[in-house]
Amino acid sequence: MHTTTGGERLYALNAAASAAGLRRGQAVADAKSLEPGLQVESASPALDKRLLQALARACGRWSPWTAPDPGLPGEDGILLDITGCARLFGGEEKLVAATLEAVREQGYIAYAAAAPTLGLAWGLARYAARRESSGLIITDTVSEPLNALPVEALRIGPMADQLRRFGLKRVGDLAGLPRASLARRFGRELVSRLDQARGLDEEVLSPLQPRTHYRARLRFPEALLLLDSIKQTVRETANTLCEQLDAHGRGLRRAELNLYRVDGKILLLSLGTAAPARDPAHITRLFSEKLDRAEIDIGFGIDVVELRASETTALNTHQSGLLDSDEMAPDTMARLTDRLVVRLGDDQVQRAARRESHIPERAAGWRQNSGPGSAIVPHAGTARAPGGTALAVRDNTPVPALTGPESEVDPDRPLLILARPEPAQAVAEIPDGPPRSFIWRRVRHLVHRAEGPERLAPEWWRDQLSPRSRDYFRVETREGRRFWLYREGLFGLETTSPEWFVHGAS
Amino acid sequence: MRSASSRRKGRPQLDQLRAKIRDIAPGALPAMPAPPGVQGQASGEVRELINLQSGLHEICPQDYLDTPSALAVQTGFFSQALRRHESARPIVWVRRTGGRSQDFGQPYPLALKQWGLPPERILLVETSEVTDSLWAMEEALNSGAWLMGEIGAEHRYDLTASKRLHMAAQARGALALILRSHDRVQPSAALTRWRISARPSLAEAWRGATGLPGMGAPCFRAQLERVRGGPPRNFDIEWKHAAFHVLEPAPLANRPATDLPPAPAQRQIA
Repeated sequence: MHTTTGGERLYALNAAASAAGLRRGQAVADAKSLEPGLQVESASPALDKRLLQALARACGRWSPWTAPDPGLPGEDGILLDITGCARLFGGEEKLVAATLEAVREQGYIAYAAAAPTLGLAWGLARYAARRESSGLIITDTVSEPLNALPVEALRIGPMADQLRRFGLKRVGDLAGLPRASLARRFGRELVSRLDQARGLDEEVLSPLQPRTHYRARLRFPEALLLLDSIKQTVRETANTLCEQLDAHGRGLRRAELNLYRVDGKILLLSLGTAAPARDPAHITRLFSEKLDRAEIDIGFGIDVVELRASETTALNTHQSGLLDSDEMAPDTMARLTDRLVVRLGDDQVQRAARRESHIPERAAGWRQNSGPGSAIVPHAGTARAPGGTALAVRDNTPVPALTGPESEVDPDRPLLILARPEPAQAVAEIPDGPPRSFIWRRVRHLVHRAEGPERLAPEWWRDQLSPRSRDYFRVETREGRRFWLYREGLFGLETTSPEWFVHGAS
Repeated sequence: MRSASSRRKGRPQLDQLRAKIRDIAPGALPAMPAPPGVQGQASGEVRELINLQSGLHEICPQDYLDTPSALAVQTGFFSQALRRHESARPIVWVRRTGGRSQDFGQPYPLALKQWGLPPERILLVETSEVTDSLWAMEEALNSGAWLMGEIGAEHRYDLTASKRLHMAAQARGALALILRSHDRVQPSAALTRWRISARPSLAEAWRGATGLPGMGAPCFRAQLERVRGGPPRNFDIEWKHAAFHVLEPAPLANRPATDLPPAPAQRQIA
């Protein structure tokens, strides 16, 4: 289902739903009243598109010339130009059957047709091929099978309804009509689509471009046995790689170093960068660090060294500032981050993050620096799996960086916060008053000043461990040390024996 | 002075040695600054000291339980220096997992803002090994970032290690603040070492919870335990309006014992 004008509507249906008489574009509420057992999931057209693209790429095994052809929901197609390819698979029948089988194996409902023109194949696959389980193949004549197809098969979208209103149901009905009047009444598109289907007009498939691989490799007649010589080779391959990247204005985000051992084993080292990088010295340095720490087994030697950029993004050169200010160039920081990450690991280098919550340990924390979309998991124990409700889904969106106007309303918080609140034994004068003294980690603290309570209700929309309110107190001990305590549970309403926890200091 | 000293035996070698040191570390042998007097324009001196110069400085808690207070003072000193230098450089905060200050939890981004540190500029680095800590600190300083470090009681952090950090910080005009342990600390090459303990704040009767007075601005006792070219001193400081203020006794208590006319009371505080 998806949300459009008029609320949530059905986006695509599976076979069972179609059999139950539901149709695309129906309101979800109507559909549910017709079919109470209906299960709906929200649609994600962007994901569908990516999947189709991947499928089209996978079809590259039958033809180098493939393109995704997104259509109505549930009617996406893939176009293949199999000119000259059939011979390799033992004929067109076998090629089509093999393609169909491979796609159906993935769990899709698929139909296929092969025809001399793109337009005819498109129409046949959608309207005539449903009767043929192993695909429909037209080799020579075009006009006969085309004339038998309904007008929708011409790739004209809603114009087909107009044609039907005039009683023109088959493509053959259009055949006898003068072109000039067709074009005048229904537009040039109809005529050109008709010509394309008949093969009178050229139509070119714009195929998926093969991905460019950025890589550099060096072979050696004598195997390398020393780590230093491998590092030297990495420097040379990095130079070549960066020249390639430079020519296309790309920067490297993820790189792989393949070391081919003489005995056929491949050693793989990979790393990511915080910002697109194109500096050979930097890349060499990162890999040298990796090589030092990886303790690789060189064995009888390495005879091929290959450096590959497995992920790249656009990287334009940028203008340096004219005035000298006390700032650090952004790429210097990115390089520092890379070096730290390579040596210490991904999880050890973190940045501040916050999210929409008023529970202190959830509201802000530190998240891994690399991996821009990663959701914040400030402390173990509070993390949870993505839920089904709308709010929970929103909860799992990437956390924005700490900016914005919220700074004005930030509440008073202690400088240090414990990952897990720790139980303390507190003595209070009245059940919902501040503690007069407390014992935390076997040390008694006498409270001389206190502020509070700041009552934080649990977030009822999340299922959580302790659905009780917390009353936070900021206290100062006799010595002037500051702590942040809370009492869990409202006295009388939620519990009769409230527990105290220390949650932060200073 | 040089000619006079050269005449004495052994002096030329010393001069050569000095020249060599100057080549290696320019500015390592400055003419000693006049030690900041205890008397005189007290507030002026104090401002000079609390606004730390670029280089390495150390903070130690007085007691184990003062560790959060020491970290708070460290954060405050840092943000004050950041503001004075109008520095837009990133901040690298290096912590040890399992360190003493870790006992009290992790820095809380929302609170950092209250202590004057912009959290979006901080890169928090957690290491398990002290060698990694020292390496990360030096890398950060060499890249030009400012450093908040927590090292704790660690014998690997010695004169050599601290000298390296200090020189890296000074070369880039950066500030490096290191939190050390409350118990015995080895000597180091830091410019200053502060020992911090919490002090009761001035009570505010109208803000407190039921039955107790409220808390005023956080107060600390900062003992300048070690300073290059100066005597140690004590300060009572208060964090208020995003700056440290020195709490001083009234001018009457500090006046000289002569009959000079009293100077106009100018209380400029940092």
